[in-house]
Amino acid sequence: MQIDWITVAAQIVNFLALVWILHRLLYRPVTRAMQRRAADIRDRFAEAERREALAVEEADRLRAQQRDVEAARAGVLAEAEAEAAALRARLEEEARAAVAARRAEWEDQLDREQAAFLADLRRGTAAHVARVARRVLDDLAGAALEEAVVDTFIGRLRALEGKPLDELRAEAVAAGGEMAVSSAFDLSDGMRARLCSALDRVHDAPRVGFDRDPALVCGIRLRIRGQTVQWTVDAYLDDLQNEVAAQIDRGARDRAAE
Amino acid sequence: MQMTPDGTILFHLGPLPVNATILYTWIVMGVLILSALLVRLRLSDTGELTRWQNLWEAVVETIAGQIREVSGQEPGPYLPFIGTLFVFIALSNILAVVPGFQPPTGSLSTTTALALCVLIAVPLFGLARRGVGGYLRSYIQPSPLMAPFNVMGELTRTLALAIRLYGNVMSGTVIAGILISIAPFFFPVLMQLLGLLTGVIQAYIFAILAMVYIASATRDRPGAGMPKGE
Repeated sequence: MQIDWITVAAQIVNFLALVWILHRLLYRPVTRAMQRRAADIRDRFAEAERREALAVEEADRLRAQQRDVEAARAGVLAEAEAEAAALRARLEEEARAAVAARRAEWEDQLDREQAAFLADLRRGTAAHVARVARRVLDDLAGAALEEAVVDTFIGRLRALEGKPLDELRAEAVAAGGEMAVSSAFDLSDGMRARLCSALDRVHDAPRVGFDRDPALVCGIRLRIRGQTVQWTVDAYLDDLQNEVAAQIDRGARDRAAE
Repeated sequence: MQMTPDGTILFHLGPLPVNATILYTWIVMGVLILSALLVRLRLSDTGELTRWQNLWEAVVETIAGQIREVSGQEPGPYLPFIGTLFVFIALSNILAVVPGFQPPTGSLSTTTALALCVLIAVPLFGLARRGVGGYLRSYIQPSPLMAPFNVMGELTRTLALAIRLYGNVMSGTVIAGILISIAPFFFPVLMQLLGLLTGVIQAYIFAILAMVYIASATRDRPGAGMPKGE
């Protein structure tokens, strides 16, 4: 074990030269390269973090925007639903009103048609009854229908008693005996004389005016100012009309129930 | 048996004899400088790195980490010295597996030269970091009476550093020589492979101890960087 000091000196020189060379060629460039790479990586991380922060911010902004859009959509939807409900209610109301109007119109028309039908029926029935009565009277008594009507009317006049007769007489006195007799047919002189004679119960000196009124269906009417005494087929026709009307109403209800 | 390559004079460079130690040292230096040149010429900051740059970056980063760990300081000022100690000793020991190559660390002259470099580097780093007063104060700590012992410790640890490396490398060579004479076909190979491991460990120990000495000289509290058991 010996030390060669020349070799020691040479090795010291070699080692120091190697330190210097490696420092210039290796350690400094490599260290700087690693530092630059580390700085670059730090920059990239910083950039990535910055972008991530931006992305998070953007995501938050988009989420908030989405919430706003959803809220706006919900609002618009609710508003549209409300408008639709209002429109539906209004249309239903209008439809109900239209249906009600149509129904009222239809019922009015039905009433008018019913009234017209009943009027026609009454007229037809009256005419028919008159024809039947005339034929019956002709067959049974041989007398004219007018005679029977006049007799019936005279009978009614004579049947007046009490308050109605008093009121009639008071009116006749107030009118000065003037009174009017209307009939559905022309009265013969005999008929007029019999009527005048019957009217003596009402006034001592009756002044009777005769005229013809076709609206009196097979009847005679006495009018003294506001008081009226009449006999017509109308009462019977009214009963018939009421009965027919009741039948029509019952048929209409049955159809509605079906 | 030739114990040291110092005695093998190969040629003379002028008046200076060039022995095997110096020649193999130049070979090791050549390999290191060549690989450093390969790294330097194709140095890349980003992108793909060459294999050489990857290797050297790993080595440099490891050494820098060890320096940082031992000294608690930034490795910048110490990296060239400590790094060169490590890579030179390690490559010298690794190349011992090449037949015919005699590691220069097997020469007491080489290890003495390296230990002297450490001996000189320790006060230089200490003076550079702490100033003259601060560094000289470390010799009279904890008491001025300890100054002779501190100076003696400085010298003996340098001697120990040189002898340790020399002894380890030389012992490996001696054991290989003995085993070749006894069992020439199998055991020398195992010993050479084991030598790879012990060579790198020796390089690590030498560099770490050098860094510990430097750290003790550059710290305000002497001995703070000393590992346990040293």
